[in-house]
Amino acid sequence: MFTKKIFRKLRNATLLTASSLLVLFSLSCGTDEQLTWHGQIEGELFPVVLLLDWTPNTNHAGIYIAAQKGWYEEEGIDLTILDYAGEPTQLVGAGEAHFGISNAESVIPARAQGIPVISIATIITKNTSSLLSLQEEGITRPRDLEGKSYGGWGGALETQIVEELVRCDGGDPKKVKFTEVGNVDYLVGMERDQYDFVWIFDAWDGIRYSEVEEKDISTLAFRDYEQCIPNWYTPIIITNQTLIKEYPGLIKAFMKATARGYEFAIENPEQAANILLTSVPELDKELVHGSARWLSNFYATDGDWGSQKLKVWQEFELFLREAGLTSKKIDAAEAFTNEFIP
Amino acid sequence: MQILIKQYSPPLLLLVLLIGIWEAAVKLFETETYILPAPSLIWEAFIEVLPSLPTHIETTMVEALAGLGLAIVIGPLLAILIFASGFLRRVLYPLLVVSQNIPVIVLAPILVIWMGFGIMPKVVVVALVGFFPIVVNTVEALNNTDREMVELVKSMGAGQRAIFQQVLIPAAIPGFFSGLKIAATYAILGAVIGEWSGASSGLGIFINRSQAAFRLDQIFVAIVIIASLSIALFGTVGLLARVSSPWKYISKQGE
Repeated sequence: MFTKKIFRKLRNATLLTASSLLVLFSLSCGTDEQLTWHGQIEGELFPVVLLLDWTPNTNHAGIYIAAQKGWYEEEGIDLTILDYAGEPTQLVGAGEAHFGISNAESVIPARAQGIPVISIATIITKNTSSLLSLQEEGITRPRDLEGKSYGGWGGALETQIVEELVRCDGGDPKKVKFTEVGNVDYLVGMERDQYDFVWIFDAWDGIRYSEVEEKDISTLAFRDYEQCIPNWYTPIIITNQTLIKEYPGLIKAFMKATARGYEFAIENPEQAANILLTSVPELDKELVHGSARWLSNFYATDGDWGSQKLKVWQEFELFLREAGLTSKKIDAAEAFTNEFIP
Repeated sequence: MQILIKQYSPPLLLLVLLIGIWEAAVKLFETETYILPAPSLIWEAFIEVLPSLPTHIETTMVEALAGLGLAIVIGPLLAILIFASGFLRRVLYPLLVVSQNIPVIVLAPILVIWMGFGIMPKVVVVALVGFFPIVVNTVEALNNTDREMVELVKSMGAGQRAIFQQVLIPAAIPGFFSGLKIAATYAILGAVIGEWSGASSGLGIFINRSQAAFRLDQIFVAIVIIASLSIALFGTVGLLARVSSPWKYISKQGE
């Protein structure tokens, strides 16, 4: 074969190039320096990465405010906020990011799996989730969900919460139908009768349906049924346990600026909305303003912004375990800390 | 000029007609914006988001071009290896096929864990999507080299280097470019998917944020931009192909 002769030399050269490219490439990929913190050095900012739970919204207003006002820089932090289309718990646990926005239903099973994440603040004190339906469905209490169909993401927690609400109100949870809708606009599905009710976040979808689209809707807010289902913290700010042990100064500095941001959002919802919109102009103005106004009354309803209660973590951990949503018992007291609330 | 008008006016007219029908239908049936926004509304959204678009476009284009660049380096190298050795062909080809069957959406978060949140994982996603058609088409073209031509050049006293430069490379170029055209078509999409695993700007981020804000009109803006960028990339590659292997196009015109 003529090719063999011609290419023996060439092949060796190519192999050499390819392998050296690979080596160079893997060298350039190192991310080890991400988790080091040397304290606040005069005039030197420390790069810190925060992962969002999906895309920016009013839940993150305090962080965007602190970033835009330069409060992180004042604490010696150069903060990068990243959109993340997924659940950041694993990446924070792996030390790929310093902080993440998560929720109790992710942290508890993650800790049960040995992932070293810990909640350092709850952004909202009470769970602001609701079940939403069009008013014409006539759903005014959980029992009315009998015979209706739920459009969700297919998560086990969703099924558990819906069934628990119906059972608690004297209904038969077996009569609720469950369908998956994925990442599709709920309003379309409900208006086309694909399903009758969905799980929403009041501060975002709720505002959208009532204020932006001006639809006649009815909602069952989880916080009105605390005798049936426990409250849980969502969204929360999480960090890595090793990071806490080795660089408590960094956590403290980060939380000081963050809490200042949320206190600002509580006092000045309109300005908070404007700041968020400057940082993320893709969002809908009307929605952000309505949401910021609504949330300003929910960020801190129980003492200082960010502080968490052991009882809430304990009850929710038990709820998850009884529902089979977490593999083994964890110590709820270790899942969070109020140590860094300024 | 006349040729250009002749060539491009039918598809443009069709496009205008379709947009007109779309606009009329949405107005006529009073379709809600969150189901299908009218073209005029998409235009308004475009004007509204215009100031924030350049950053997103720049991020995505840099990722796509860097990824294509990596694919252009790796693709032909692999093609030469596969062409040169039957053993390597047996070892590498199945692996290459496997590499194309890992869903990018699954791979992207893993790349982030390995490489961090910088530009690298996005570039690698684009390169992974792009190198495959380049390899396959280049190998094909090399295999189809006119053997008589090789023998002829050899009989005229050409050495190995000369055969490579004067026969094999020209034979491989059209194949390389048809592979690159396919790669260019998917490059922007690859970058967009890569961005979903953590980024602060880019068209993928723009789409996600618009979706979270229920702004279907903005999502359509993004679709139009991605399509336009892809067409521009595709066109550029086509132009490069024409410049670098003119003989292929001249002979076609003569036929």
